[in-house]
Amino acid sequence: MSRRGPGIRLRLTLSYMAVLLIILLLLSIGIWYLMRDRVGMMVRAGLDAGYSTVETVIINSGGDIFDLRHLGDDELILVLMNGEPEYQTLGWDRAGLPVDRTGLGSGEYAGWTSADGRSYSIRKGTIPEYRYTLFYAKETTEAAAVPGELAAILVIAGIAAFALSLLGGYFLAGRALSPVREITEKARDISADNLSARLPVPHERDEIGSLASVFNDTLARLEQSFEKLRRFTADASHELRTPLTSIRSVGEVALRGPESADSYRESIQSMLEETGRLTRLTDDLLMLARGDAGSAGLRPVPVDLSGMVNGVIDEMKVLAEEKGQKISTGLRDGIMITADRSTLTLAISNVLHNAIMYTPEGGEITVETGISADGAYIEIVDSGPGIPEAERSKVFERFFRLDDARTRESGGSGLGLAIAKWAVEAAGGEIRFIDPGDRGSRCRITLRRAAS
Amino acid sequence: MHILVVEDEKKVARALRQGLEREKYQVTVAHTGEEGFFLATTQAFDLILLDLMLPGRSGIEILQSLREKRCQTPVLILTARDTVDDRVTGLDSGADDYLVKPFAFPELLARVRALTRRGRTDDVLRIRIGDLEIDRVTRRVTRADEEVQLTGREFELLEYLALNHGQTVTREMLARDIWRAGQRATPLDNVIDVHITRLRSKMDADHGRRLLHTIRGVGFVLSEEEP
Repeated sequence: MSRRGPGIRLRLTLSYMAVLLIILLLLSIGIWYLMRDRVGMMVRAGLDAGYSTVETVIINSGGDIFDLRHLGDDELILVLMNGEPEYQTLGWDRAGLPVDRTGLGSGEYAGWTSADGRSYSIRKGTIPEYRYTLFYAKETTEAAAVPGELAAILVIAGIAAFALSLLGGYFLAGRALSPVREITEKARDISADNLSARLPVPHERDEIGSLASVFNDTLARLEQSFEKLRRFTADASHELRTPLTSIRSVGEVALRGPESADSYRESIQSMLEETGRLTRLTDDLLMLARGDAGSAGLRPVPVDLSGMVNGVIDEMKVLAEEKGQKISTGLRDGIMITADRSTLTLAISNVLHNAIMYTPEGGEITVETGISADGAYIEIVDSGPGIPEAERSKVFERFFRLDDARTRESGGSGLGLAIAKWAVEAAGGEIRFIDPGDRGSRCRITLRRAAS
Repeated sequence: MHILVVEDEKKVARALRQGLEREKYQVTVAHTGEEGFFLATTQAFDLILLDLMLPGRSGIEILQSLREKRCQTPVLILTARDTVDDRVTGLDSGADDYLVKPFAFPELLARVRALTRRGRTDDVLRIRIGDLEIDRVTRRVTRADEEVQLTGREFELLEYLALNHGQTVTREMLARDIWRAGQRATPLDNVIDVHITRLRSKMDADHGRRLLHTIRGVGFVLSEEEP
């Protein structure tokens, strides 16, 4: 089991629950206070009504408190005159209410609990013209129980709601995350051996769907680079093993029998030739490997592009002369670019070398420099057999050979254009073969111009 | 001339000893850093060939300790590490030269010669090899008193071969010293071959004895004798 899946699920549920708990608490406390106030208001309203009746009876009877008897014995009434009990109902006595409530001011309310646990609310007032102090009480045992009962209900209901939400939340979070689990399972199964597998995309447009799509794009690129790597490994082992095989077999054959000194010499020379080839190949591969690791060690400086191209042509023209080829140039002055001089020189000479190799004897090669909207450019056009359009980007791949039948003798290491591409890209430029028009092939290198 | 070779790889050490002894150098081999350091501090050598990746103490540490002890023997580093940083570290630690493995033996010999003759000036203004004469001041070349017309590049090439005459010169040496190329590459090798061919046709053709020889798999040599 992956530890991350349930982790998110639990965290999600818990954070929901924390929010829910706060909401429930606030709601319950609000309801409780509101209800308690309402109950209190109702109790007081009842007391006020009873009190007014008693007060009216006393005033209407001209202060004769014994008229209160008509109200019945169940009413809870106490009348004091000058602090001494003047009248009290039977109910007052039965309830065991106190007769001395002098602590209450006029118009105030008080609560009282009897010895047997019943609650009473008392309203006190004065009737000044008869110097009466009037107490009117009502039993409020039920009303007093309301806040407590409400609290109990709220707590129980809250716990139930909380528990239900917890389960529901956990379930829903699990359901929402289930595509993630599915993707995780699937992704775990994808390795270098089945990179063509893709993740399920549940709903194209939601977050998880787009995550899966992005993953799939990454897998596609990964598959491509693995494929490239596989091909590269196969090519590299071929290129490395061929000279090794030669060295080994030439050495073994030479050792088989006594031969003339000249013959031994011949064998050793042949072995050294192959060693040289192997050394060159190793150097090229190391250069590319370092390039892959980043452009450390390169020193970009301002370079006069046409001057550099001219230098390369000067160096290489002997090769063209040997084949009776003509190199014509159209170099524009004053183009400054920023690049590592040595690697860019290498890139240009590799491309030019290719052009010379592919152009037949007596053919023509054109080298031009100029400025376009994209920056500075170099174009090297040859009059060789050309590159089919579908192969134009592949020629920069390591060990790629256009013509499989071509031998290593004329083809170099097969890394020249790969190195050129690395060097140009390290300088922030771009190299590609474009439509050659009526010529063989046309290589265009675009470079950033130096800020002047 | 006594050379100390500090190299742990037995095959390489043996090849170095044989190759150097054939050139009449006296050779002592140390297979570990400690042994090399001990020998270098107890005996007098004219040159130390130092491998960098040694068991025990690294070549750089040994070099630094030697220089701290005021040992002034020239040191030539032999190593497979060839980044610019590696070279700078090596030279900053007190090395006099730096050669990357796998190296061409003729190049090693050339550098050994250069380091052991350092401090001596034997500038030759006029080189004579058989009936070939090279005037380094006027840059004129004659073969059997007949003037040979050379381009600038061809003259530099011939001059370099003549200064190393009798010794093999590799393409690596030519690429670095004549073309001053940072990296060696296939195009340049082909260019060098063309120049050698042209030089040969100008100075060797129509003369009985060939002076410029190709050593297959190694390089070129300017010599009166057949190699």
